[in-house]
Amino acid sequence: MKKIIAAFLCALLAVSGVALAEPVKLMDSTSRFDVTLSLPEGAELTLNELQSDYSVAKAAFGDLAPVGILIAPSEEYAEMSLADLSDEEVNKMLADTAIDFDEPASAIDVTPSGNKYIIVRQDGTQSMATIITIYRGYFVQLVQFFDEYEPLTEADTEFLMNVLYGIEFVDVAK
Amino acid sequence: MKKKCLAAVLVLLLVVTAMPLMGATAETNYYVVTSNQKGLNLRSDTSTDATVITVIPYGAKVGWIGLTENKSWAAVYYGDHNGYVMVRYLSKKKPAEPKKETPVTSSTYKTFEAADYYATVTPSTPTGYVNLRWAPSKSTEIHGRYHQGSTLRVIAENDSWAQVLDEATMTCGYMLKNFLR
Repeated sequence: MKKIIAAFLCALLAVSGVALAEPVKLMDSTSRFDVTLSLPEGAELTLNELQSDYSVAKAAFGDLAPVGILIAPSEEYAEMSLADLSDEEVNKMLADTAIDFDEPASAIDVTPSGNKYIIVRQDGTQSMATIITIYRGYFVQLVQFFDEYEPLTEADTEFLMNVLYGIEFVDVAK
Repeated sequence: MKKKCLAAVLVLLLVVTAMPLMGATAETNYYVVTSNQKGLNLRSDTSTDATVITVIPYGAKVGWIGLTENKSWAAVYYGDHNGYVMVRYLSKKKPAEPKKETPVTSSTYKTFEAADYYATVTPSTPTGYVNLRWAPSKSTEIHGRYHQGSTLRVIAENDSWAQVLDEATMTCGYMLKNFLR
């Protein structure tokens, strides 16, 4: 199954004219899975810390707004993915994420591989965007903004989505 | 300035995961506080893969044994059970009964009252962050981001906002009280 997903992601990015670099491990393996990230060729990944249960990284690609990547386990939603939550829980999570934004625009969507996610962004004097999803008990959050919060363009958003689509949870053989 | 702030935040993130809970002793009790107000797993080991011994109800008191080496987990006891829980779900303050949340206004310059206590930054998600702003308004500039576990000194507050001081960097600003515990 994971080969099919990986192949699909390759096809998706190939159609958009972006070649994939080799996947990079974002977290040490838990007993269940490794978390890897595939970025477009030419993108740079800075891994701040690699621990068994927390990952902080930053992806950059040319002049595009960099994307902070944070992954951590959740006890509140252990073993669950965002699609397993009720509409009320998802809406509360969206509200909690947007609470620190001044004029947020938000949406709930699904990745090509079928994983639900929340996206919140604001444009104007402090442009930034954040994506939150839960996958098998792990929170994944992406945060994108320029140092001076300049407006985010379509190209910046496309890079943000490429990062999201490039994250893969690979089952570890027991 | 912002690059330095963001770099400082990242450093802070790494540092605070190594900071033990302030003042924790064997006699200190903590309360279970989860954002979804559900119970917390007490596990046999320091991993979300470990066996669940029991589920500790929201608001229940647990006895502190000690912080584990990776600082993300704590050894605690609850009733007859000893085990491990994730530190981010513990609070020294007993939570109020679950109630409907009152909306936070975008900005409020309502009179601040002096305060003096330490609070822990607790975003709504394990990966979240809380903005530090130069004024009590979401439309003002962000000059810092704080992740789970950061300790800030609250020096004034109103219903929605707290004026805080980061004693590590001597940075002062305003933060939504929703995310301070």
